[in-house]
Amino acid sequence: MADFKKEYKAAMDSITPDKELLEKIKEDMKAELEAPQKKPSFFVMHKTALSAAALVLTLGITVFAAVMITGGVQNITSDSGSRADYNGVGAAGMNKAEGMVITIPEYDDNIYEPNGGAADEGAYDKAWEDNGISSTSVTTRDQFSADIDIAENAEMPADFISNPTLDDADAPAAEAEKTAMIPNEELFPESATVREENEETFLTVTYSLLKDIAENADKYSLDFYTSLNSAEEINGYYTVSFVYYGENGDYMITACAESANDDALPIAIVMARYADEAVDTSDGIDLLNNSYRLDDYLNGDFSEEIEQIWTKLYNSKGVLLN
Amino acid sequence: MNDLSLCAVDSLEGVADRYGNMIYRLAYAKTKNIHDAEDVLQEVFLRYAKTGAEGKIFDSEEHRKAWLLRVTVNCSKNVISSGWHKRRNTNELEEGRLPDAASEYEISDTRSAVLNAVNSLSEKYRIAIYLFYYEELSIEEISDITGVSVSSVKTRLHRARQQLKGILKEVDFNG
Repeated sequence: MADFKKEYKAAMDSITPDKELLEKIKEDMKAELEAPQKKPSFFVMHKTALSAAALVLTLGITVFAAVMITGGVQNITSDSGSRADYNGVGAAGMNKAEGMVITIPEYDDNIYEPNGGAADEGAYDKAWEDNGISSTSVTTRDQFSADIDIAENAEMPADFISNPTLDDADAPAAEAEKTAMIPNEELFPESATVREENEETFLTVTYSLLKDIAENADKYSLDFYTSLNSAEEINGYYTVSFVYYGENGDYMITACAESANDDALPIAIVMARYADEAVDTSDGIDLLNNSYRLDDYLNGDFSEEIEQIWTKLYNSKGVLLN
Repeated sequence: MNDLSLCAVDSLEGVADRYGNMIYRLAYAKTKNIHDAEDVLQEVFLRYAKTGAEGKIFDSEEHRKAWLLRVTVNCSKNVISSGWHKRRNTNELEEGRLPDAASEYEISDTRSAVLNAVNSLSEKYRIAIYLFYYEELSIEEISDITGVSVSSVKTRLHRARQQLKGILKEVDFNG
């Protein structure tokens, strides 16, 4: 019986750099050391001051753009609702000090399409209207993306996470503290490096917040699950959207699951836990189409976790989707 | 293992000898291309020399190794995302891919199958597999080096294993 680790190590062991190349690199390294150190240019010497000036200029432009966009909400259109928008959201979110739009549009194209998203659109509109934001009907992901832009420029209440407007009034103080606002440093632990990877950061942030909700599922009200989520049977599968809007519509988290039974809700939550992976389409991963269909969640390593969440939900809120 | 000076400037040759293979393999795992891996290897050691010129002193050998791994990951990303890399045509990219390398390095069928399987994974899974199985790093160390959360590393490993299991179903593995 073959041993994967042993075979893999042996295979990798045989891959070595050319000895001549290594010798040349050694020479290059020495040359690098012996090369006279260049006097820093004006820009390097004054980079702090220049960076500060650039930052001020950038912030000014950002604020101006935000005001312009917010003021012209009705005119916003998105070119495609595609990955470009997605990355745009991620990048924009990173630049905000606190407020951040969290969404997973890549999660499932279908729920924002007319043929599969009627129920979700209703929930979406209701949440939007309830929060005093335009009640534009969401029928395509283009519009969805446009609304993301709107939300991105809205103010987020500072206590939103710690007091998510749901029924956490009875939650012990310790529990409330657990869901306190995630500090920026934690979201962007190595901002210099991570900022080069907008998508990765965005997904990590998404994951952190979704995880928080998933881990504190019983703190959220039945309304949260029933009014903002809906189960719909499409081609023999239940599709459940898991959407969470901020008090002012400025914060949004979505996840979606489909299942042949009403396990879809706990699955959606479990999927949310792993959303940073699930929504990554950089290598073509698509939850609805790839091998990580929900069967994997039901039958694989996640099944126990799903069972626990389902029990937790049922016991605490009596949630039944059907 | 001989002790190397933790002062970067005093350890250029020794570091190249000790970590050359590691950097090259990680770069290969990341880029799947031996030519790109060579570019990364050169870039990493040039950076090492530069940091040496700036007086860099590592806290420990582990610190130096982690630094090199991290820089390798970053340099590999730069190579992959460079315009030059993206503009290369398929033939040029194919030249440096595994099948050629496998024959060049005289890898056995089973090992070649394993390497091909790992190479068929997406980049993030390949790196997780490489760092975990080859470098034998802990989940936390992989998280530090790749800059993703611990839970993400776990998830990646889990999914990578699942994919490998499917790809290598013909091979009877015990692990």
